Parts: sequence; structure tokens; C-alpha cells
Amino acid sequence: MSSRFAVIGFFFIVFILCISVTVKAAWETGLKAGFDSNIDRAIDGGKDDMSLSAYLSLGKETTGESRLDWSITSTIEGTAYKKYSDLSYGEVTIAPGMVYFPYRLWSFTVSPFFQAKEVRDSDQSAIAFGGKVTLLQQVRPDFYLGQYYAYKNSSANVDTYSFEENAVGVLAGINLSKGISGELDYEFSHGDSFRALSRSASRAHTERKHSNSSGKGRYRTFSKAFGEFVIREPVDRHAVGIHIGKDWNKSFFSAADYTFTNAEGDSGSSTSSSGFISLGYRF
Amino acid sequence: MELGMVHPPRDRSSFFSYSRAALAALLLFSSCTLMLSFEVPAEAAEKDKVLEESGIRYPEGFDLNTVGRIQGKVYGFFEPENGPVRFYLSSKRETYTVIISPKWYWNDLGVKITDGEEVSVLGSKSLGKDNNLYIIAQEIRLLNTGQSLVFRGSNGSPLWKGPHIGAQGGFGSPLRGRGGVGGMGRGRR
Repeated sequence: MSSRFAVIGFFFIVFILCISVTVKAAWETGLKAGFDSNIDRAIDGGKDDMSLSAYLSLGKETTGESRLDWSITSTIEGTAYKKYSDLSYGEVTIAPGMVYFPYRLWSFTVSPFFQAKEVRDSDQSAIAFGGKVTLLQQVRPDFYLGQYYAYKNSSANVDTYSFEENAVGVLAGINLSKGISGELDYEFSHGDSFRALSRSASRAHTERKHSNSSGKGRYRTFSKAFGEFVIREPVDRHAVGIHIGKDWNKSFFSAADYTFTNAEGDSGSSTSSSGFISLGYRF
Repeated sequence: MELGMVHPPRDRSSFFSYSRAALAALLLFSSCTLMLSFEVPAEAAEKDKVLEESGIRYPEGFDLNTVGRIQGKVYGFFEPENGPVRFYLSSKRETYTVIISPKWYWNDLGVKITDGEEVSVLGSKSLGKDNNLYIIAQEIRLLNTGQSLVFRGSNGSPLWKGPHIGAQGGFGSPLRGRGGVGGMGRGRR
């Protein structure tokens, strides 16, 4: 665990150095109140919870003054859960990016990211890295389309919570008058996910894994945070979401976000609804 | 008593090798970050660039409260090495300097504009510190062809910065939609 703290501490030092050196970069801070109807990703039933997050980010955005531009963002975020407080976490993310404008109104972004997450339930603490490739087209001055591919590899303290995931998504966004904007998107992903099972299903899962001699039964563990057994297995996820925002002025903005997710794996399918409302401040 | 197999303690060797790899990647990345960070003040200054002769902030100086349309004749079109493409617009009453966009964006439009051409410019008007009038273009209409060239969205955001994703925080913000960078996963906790 000391290794993890060292890594997280390192993130913090880098973040603070960035802050001290890049005083002219753009800052952003915000509060976010969220909910999730299936926080344990249960196949039958599911536990719901609400959360409150605060974040601070520092970054340099692209200016578009030349065809090739770069960006970088460091974000520190803390989230507290209401019922399942063991899920509360702190997270640091660093995401550099290169943006190329192959033609006016088109942008192509490549962005690797690095993330360290410390969860109160230390089994779920993880280090992650990945990348995202995004293509955006400004179809009209106030309407854009986008497509992306993302990869994420997260290594948790307990393997049940580790995952590797590939995702593709499409999105459409609109900017209306008076600072109102909206975005609709769909994402398909394939990768590992932890999932909560009922006791009988959990036992059946283990037996099935034994009979297959796959050895993957070792991914089953008891979660103190959820008070139930969870497994890890590959799933296909389909997610649709809507995001609505409003710029109140150049500094203050707010947003509301909703996502419906369906995940299918060997053990069955599960659904969840999640979302948040937020208030942010740029300075 | 639960009979199923319970997860054993994590394979520590694989975890630490992963951590070491991640730490090495972070060290490498952070070195790059810090080096780049020293460049950021200059870049940030560019973001809030003040045009020398006029004192006008570009591209952020667009003010929705001063938007108006001016019709007149073009002369003195020029593409500076740095900074926005410009021309003078001679209307019946005044002469304005029209501040347009970066050179690459203008060139992608594939438009040639010549002295004496009649145009109508919609944009944010201001008085420069040199006492000359300026207009930051949102749209330029070429009156002889009817062609309309759009440079900014309805809220004044420059189109050359790529799609404006409003009210969702900055690049990489936790509040940003899927068009942003980093992270992933709708519904991913």
C-alpha cells in the first residue's frame, strides 16, 4: 500500500508544481451531486446511493491559433457517498492532449491519461492509464457531432475490481442561445467489470468457473463495502446519456447529466441509472 | 458458512510490478509535464493576447453587447505572420479594421477578397487605444456572390477552436461531456 501512497503523493506533488508554475493557466472548480441506482452493479436488484463530489482542475486549453495544438489538464477530485461511505474516494487525473485540425470545423484529439484513485474500501483503490481518440465535426456553428475510441486499464488492489476496457462512442451536441447547451451520446464498451451476485448465483458462478477449469473463479471476493460477494467477468455495456448545461456568465456554469446503462455478461444482464447535477466556476 | 471460493490476497508481485511501471510512466510523463508547464504562461498570454496597436484582446475580446452589422468596401487585406487576418472596411461614415481569424482557418475557406469588394460584416465593435474603430468578425457576407463566411458561433465563441462544448467545464473537466479528454465510460464509477 505504501507504493500506492507514493504514487498518489507523487501525483499531488506534480499537481502542486503545475499549479505553482502555471499560474496563468485556466482553473476550474465545482461541486457535483450524483446518484446511481445500481452502485454494486448487481444482476438482480442493486443498491442505490447518492454522492457529493468536489473537484479542482488546472489546465491549458487549445487555442486553435494553429492547426496543431496541445493541452494538458490536472484534476483532483473527492467524492463522498451517503449510504455506502466505504465507496468514498479521492482521485487525481492528469490528461495531456494533442489536437490537430485537419480542416476547419474538424478536430482530431489524441489524449492519454493517468489516474490514481484511493478508495476508502482499499480493495478498490487503483491506478489506471489509458487513452482517448476523438474526432469532432462542427456541422453548423451551433451543432456538432463526435466519435471516439477510448481504452482504459485499471489495476486495483484486489483483482476483482481491476478492469481493461475498450469503448467506442458517438455524440451529438447543440449550443442554444443564452448559454444553454446539450449533448446526447451513446457508448458501447467491452471489458471487465465487477458485479454483485446473489448468494446462490455467486456459488453457481464459482462452480461454473471450476467446471470450465478457467481459473477465473479466483476473481470472486467478498466486498465489505457492499456486504456481499462480487465477481469479475467480461461484459458488453451499452450506455445512452444526455447532458444539459448552462453558462450563467463567463465564470459560472451548471450542468445536469443522466445515463442509462445496460451490461450483459455470462452471469446475466444488469441495468443502472446514474447522473448528477453540478455547479462549476472557472477562473 | 459460504462454501464458494473467496478471493485470495492479491498477487503482490504483480501489483508492485504494475505500480513500478505506472510510477515510471508517471515520472516520465511528469517530467514532460513540468517542462511543458514552463511554456504555459506564454501560451496563456497568447490566449489573452492583446493586439499591440489597438489594445484589443483576441480572440477573447468579442463582446455580445456590442455586436452590430457594418456594410462597406474592403481594402488593405493582409495576413500577418502571427495574429489574425485583417482588412479595412470603409463604410459611408467610418472606417473599421476587421479582425477575422487565424490564417489557417481563413485559408481553409478558400476565399479571395479583393480591394473594393462590397461586404457586410457582423461582429463586435470596439474603439482601440489608437482611437481607431475595430470590429471582431462573427460573419462576413460577400455581397456580390451572397456567400456567407462564419467565424464565430451565436455566443461569440471562435469556430477555429473546434466545437464549443458549452457549460460543461473546460478541457478534461469532470463535468465535461464525452467530447472531452481523459476518463471514460458512461455510467462508470
